[in-house]
Amino acid sequence: MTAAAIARPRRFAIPSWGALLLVLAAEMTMFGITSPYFFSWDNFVNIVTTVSVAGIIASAVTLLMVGGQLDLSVGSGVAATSFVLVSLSGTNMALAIAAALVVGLLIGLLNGLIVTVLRVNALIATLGTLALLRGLVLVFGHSNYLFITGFDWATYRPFLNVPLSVWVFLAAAVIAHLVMQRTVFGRQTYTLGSNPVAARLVGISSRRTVIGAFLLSGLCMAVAGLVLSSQLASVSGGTGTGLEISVITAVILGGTRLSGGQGTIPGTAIGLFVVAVMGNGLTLLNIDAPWQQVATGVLLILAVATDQWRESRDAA
Amino acid sequence: MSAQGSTAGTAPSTAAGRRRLPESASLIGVLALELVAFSVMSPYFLTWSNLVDILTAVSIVGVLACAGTLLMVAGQFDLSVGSGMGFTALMLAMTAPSIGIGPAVLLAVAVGLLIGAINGFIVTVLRVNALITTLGMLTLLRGLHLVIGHNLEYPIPEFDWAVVRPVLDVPVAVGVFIVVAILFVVLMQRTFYGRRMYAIGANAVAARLVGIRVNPAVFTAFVLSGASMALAGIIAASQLGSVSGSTGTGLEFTVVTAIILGGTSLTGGIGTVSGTLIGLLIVGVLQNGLNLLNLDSSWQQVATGALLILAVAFDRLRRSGNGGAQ
Repeated sequence: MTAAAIARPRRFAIPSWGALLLVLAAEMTMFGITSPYFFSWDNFVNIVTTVSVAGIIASAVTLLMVGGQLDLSVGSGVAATSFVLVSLSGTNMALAIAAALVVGLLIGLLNGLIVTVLRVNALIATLGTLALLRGLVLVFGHSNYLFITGFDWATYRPFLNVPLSVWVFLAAAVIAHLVMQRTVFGRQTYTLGSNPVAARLVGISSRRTVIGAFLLSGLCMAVAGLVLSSQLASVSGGTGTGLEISVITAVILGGTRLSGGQGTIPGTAIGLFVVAVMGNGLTLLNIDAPWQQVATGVLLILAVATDQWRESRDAA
Repeated sequence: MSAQGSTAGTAPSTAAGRRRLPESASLIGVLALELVAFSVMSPYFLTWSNLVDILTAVSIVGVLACAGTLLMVAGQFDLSVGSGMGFTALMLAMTAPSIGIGPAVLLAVAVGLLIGAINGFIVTVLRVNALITTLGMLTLLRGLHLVIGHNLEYPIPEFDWAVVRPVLDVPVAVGVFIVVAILFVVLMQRTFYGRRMYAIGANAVAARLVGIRVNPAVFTAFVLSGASMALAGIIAASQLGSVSGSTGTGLEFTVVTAIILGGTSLTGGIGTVSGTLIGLLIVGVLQNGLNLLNLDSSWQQVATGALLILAVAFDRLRRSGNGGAQ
């Protein structure tokens, strides 16, 4: 576990969530006071439901970013997998679901190969696949709405009035957390992200680790695509547009370093909730949706600035 | 290039030439290939008015990409250019009816400079990574745009200067773009400031140790990026005749694609405005050619994405094949 000790200096990791938890608590107190509807089970379920699609993807993207990579193609990937699912759903649903999962894995494999074999920077590679996949969805879908029927499983509420989409999100988060903290692959990802040269010297295959992380990201795109097309019962050329921004905002807010080596799933979850609670609270207060965008931007910069300031103080 | 004292003119085997000249050479090859292919496939392609169309189509992105190249050479990034351009255009369109065109233009420029200054302040003083800063600014400005503009369309009458074609049938917008490009070539290759930016991007610590004041230089580059947002916003307002909630959306993607295609290194220290111009033309010619061939505009997106990956991958392989650092 020396890798863990190097990869996760406690002094940075714990306070970085601590501060964020305070922000979350402050938001909740404020909205609890200003709106009588805020503190209700239904409202909490609503909040978690709105983050479920972004959360499924953010689970994998946290792992990727800990490994020093990045995936901007997630929004287009969700659109592509949803599109495959919805197009094939007329013939055979099981086949359509399998095809969507395979397409997701193929997207991940493509990203991983471009990054490892062609050695293109992950930002550029996934910026390219973002454009490429979005273009393909528009080419084949002609920007029309395609509908899917009998696929509303994600909106069922079997237990505690919580929809299945939330359970899928929770499962993805727990699995990603276990993979990152309890498996050799996960620990190797931390090592690779904090020091690629050292990782190579101790015998970690960066190629296999990076491709593995991109495959997970692709799989999560497909799962998110399944959830989203079930929630919306349709897919269009605009499905998933801009999702990469929400996902990366949540992951970075949650304390994951852009340069890799640091970051956890609980941190990402808190990052997701800080944004979602604010959106929900502002909606309850009847504040225009664009203000939520303004607030998210300010929050992202403030949170990272605070983190940076604390780190430089600690280093001094 | 010349200011770095490289003798890149001869062969790819010289140490300096390995990094710089073949880079633009291979890109020019791609561009030439596109030009030949589209000339063969479409009789309309190789006409003066079509070439002017291509330049007109890239002029707004080009204005933004010049400042973007300077920033990226210094190891920085500006993702807020699309939102910033939209926001300055909105300021112009909303205030012009009440305060007049002249003051409204000045206001738009001031807003652009302010956006750049805020980005620069956050990056240099608060020490937040430029990618995160400008991602935050992108979201923030787009939100403000919708809050203030209520997603309505604001027409700007009598503001069509950018589409006037005074000489050679070339619109003023293209003229502005060319002037900006020349200014940035001179700034980056012929001034101390420009050469410092290369030093900062190549090795910020070494740059500081040789006495370069890194923060003011980076701050200035962000302010220049803000100024180019304002200029692009003013051109866009004039070309479109109106501003809406989505003006400038996604423009940062095109800008970054052109800069990276043009051979600028994401980590800084390497890149030229002339490379960026070739990158712009590669994308612009591709889109124009596919249009002439009557291909669905969505195919252009597919082609641009594939081109971006292929061009960068090719460049990577070539460099590693030559025994370069990466």
